Amino acid sequence: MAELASLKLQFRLTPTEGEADSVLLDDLIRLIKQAIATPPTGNVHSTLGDFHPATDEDRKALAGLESKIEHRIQAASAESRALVTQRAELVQQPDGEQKARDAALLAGQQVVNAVHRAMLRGVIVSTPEPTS
Amino acid sequence: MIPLDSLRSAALSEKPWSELDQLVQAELSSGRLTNQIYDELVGMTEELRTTPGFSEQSEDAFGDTLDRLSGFCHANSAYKNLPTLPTEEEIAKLPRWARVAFAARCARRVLPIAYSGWPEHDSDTATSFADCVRYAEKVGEYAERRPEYEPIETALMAYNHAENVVNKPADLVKAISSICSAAVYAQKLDEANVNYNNLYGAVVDALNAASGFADITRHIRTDYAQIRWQTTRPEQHDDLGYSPEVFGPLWPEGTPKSWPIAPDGPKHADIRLELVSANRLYERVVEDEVVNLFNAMNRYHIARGGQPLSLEDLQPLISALVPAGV
Repeated sequence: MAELASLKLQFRLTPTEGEADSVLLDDLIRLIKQAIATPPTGNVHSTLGDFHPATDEDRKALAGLESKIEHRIQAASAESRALVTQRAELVQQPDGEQKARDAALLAGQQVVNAVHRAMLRGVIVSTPEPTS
Repeated sequence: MIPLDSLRSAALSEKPWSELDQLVQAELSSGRLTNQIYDELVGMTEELRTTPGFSEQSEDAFGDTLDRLSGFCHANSAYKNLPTLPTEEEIAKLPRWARVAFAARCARRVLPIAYSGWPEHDSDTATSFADCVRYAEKVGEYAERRPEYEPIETALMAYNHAENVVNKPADLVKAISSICSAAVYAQKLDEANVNYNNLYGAVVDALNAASGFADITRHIRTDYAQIRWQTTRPEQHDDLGYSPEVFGPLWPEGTPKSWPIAPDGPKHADIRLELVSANRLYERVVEDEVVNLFNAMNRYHIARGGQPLSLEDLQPLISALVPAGV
């Protein structure tokens, strides 16, 4: 009987509709890199060896981790649609453009915070070079 | 400066909160910083408290004002600095490699302006601008001066040509000047003939170069605050450099309208991410962090005007098998 030592999850993020905004994706990547370059005090340091794709036996041990993640993300899609609508309404208001920019600034800080939170909980985040 | 008499009359007035607020707002409007005002008020505390008529209400209002200045209150109530350009004195307080990193960041911000006014056929010159910015970034990052660097000479020649020969627009000249100043400062950091003029020139010229497109005072101030904060980290010391990544994206709220587009802009079709549990398998923690990070990135993408993100090709990988009980 064996137990799994360390787990890595790889994935890609793409816009659900339309063409990718390359500048916007680059800004997201830079937010992740900023969070990595400014780690919170007390984050977990670790060096890990090589990884291999999970076998069927590994996947049993993971107890449906992939489907749980996908389910939770799909469950949030209604909220995402509402956010798109809210933003579209916001930019129509007087000073709406500025409010939208302020909201984006705050949301960007929350991306950095999310990476820092993961680090503090022992999860290392990285961004391999994106595909072009 | 807040005169003691003004402070006394505000604290002892019938409406000490609003009177003290007016005093502080006037100081902030003149460009003073919250920590400067805080220090000044704290320095007058004893004299204020011994003023005849200083009441419990005065004490509460004065204490609340200090809390708002120090940020020890709800974020909405805290006083905030008006965006001002960092002073030479403030920049001088940075360790030397942080100063280089900060100058490079200012130059990086206005690089597209330098590009925008340069003829396409002179690609060597345009490339030298980008090389100068990268050079300054690397000096700041690796905390190591580098010897002579040819692109700096090319960029300096371009600056002289733009300013004196072809009379290029001021924003272009200032952008090139900012870039050259950052590179020259990085190159000659410890030499007697380099001074803060080069450093401060990189900052002021960046501001002036941008003025026709956007007011970037707040952005420069934020960059300064970020690098200043990094210098205070426990693991940081004067011999270590600063990666350009610590500043984050140039325009996290979105690029200003009409800002020139850099010809070598990013070309991403997606974002690839990897999350690794550091010690051993805690599926629930990894699951939570993937979802939390996805949600934050998705909200940012939408806040910037993008469509919702979708997660693709989720794949688990395992590092090793360890016998149970080991």
